Amino acid sequence: MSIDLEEQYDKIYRYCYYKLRHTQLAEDITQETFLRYLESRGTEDAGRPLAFLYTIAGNLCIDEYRKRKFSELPEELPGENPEGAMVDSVILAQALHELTEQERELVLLRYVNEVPVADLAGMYGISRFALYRETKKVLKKLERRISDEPDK
Amino acid sequence: MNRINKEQLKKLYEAPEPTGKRAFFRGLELKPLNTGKILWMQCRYISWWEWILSVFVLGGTVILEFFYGKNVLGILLSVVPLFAVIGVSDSVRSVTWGMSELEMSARFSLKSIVLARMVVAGIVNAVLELLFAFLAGGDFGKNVLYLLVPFLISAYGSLILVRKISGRDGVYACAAFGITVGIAASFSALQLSWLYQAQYTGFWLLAVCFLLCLTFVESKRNIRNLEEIVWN
Repeated sequence: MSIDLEEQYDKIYRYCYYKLRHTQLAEDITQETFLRYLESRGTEDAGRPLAFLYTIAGNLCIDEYRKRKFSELPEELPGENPEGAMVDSVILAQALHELTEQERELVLLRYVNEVPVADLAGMYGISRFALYRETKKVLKKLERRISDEPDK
Repeated sequence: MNRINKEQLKKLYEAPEPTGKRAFFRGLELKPLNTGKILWMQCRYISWWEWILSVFVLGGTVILEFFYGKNVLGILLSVVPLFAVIGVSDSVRSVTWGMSELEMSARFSLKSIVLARMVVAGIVNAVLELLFAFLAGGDFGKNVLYLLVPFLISAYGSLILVRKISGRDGVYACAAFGITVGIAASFSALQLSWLYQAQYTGFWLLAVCFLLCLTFVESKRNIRNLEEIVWN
């Protein structure tokens, strides 16, 4: 499977930004991710390059997080500032905010960055069925929260 | 996902625009590859049926040798030209199938790709020739010469044909030519056995040298032809 690196750049950047909530750091980690990816894989396309890319990015973000020991998070998590969002998305933002960190990450990877199930399963080291069950659970949680909203 | 608006979800996860993307990709230098790596990469693009056929013919030869012990040369002479055809047509596959422009937009020039494939095909064929010469029994050196002549005739003819006839027709013409050479070589081994006697070894050696020169010149001409196709 071959991947479009330029297209993936934005997605990996979004993922890093979500993890670190710092524009410059997210971009640095994104570039480091691609450099490491190219260095270790060269021109070969075997295996699951997407899962590999996200694993590198995830690990680098964890390293960075540990190194810096983030005390303050200057920028916002999705759903942390529902007032700033459009009225229609306020409920969704609130619903997202009620998810756990891991669940929010899963929503980002699966539905925003559209990482295929097989790659995500490879990245998390679980079976595709387990991942499918997990995403279903998260979606149900979100939908339940949306339908509980009296305005809707 | 029915009740959740995907676009809204994307907006909620929106990150500020990355600023260094362009500069990063512009400055990104791909790892330089050595000749060995390029050749190895090209091995993966050689048709699977070429490998299968090579193994099949080699296996068949081993079996024949094992059961009959002799006269394998005549059979080998008929199949050897086909290897040349396969090698040549596979080397210029991108030109044959109208994919040369796509190849030219890739990392390596079309010329280097075709050259690499020719080298790979040449190495594979050389190994097969040596194995066949060994399996045919008798004098190893003479067998190499006997097998090389139809092989080189076929390679030379195929190179001319793929240069002159474009598209799939060129490959068909090569196949027809290879089969004809194979039949002629096999016929000569069976009916003109005097040609394969020791006193004519010099003649065979001369023929091989002459054909090697012709094939080399024709290969160069083919490669030079590719230089004329310029990416615009």
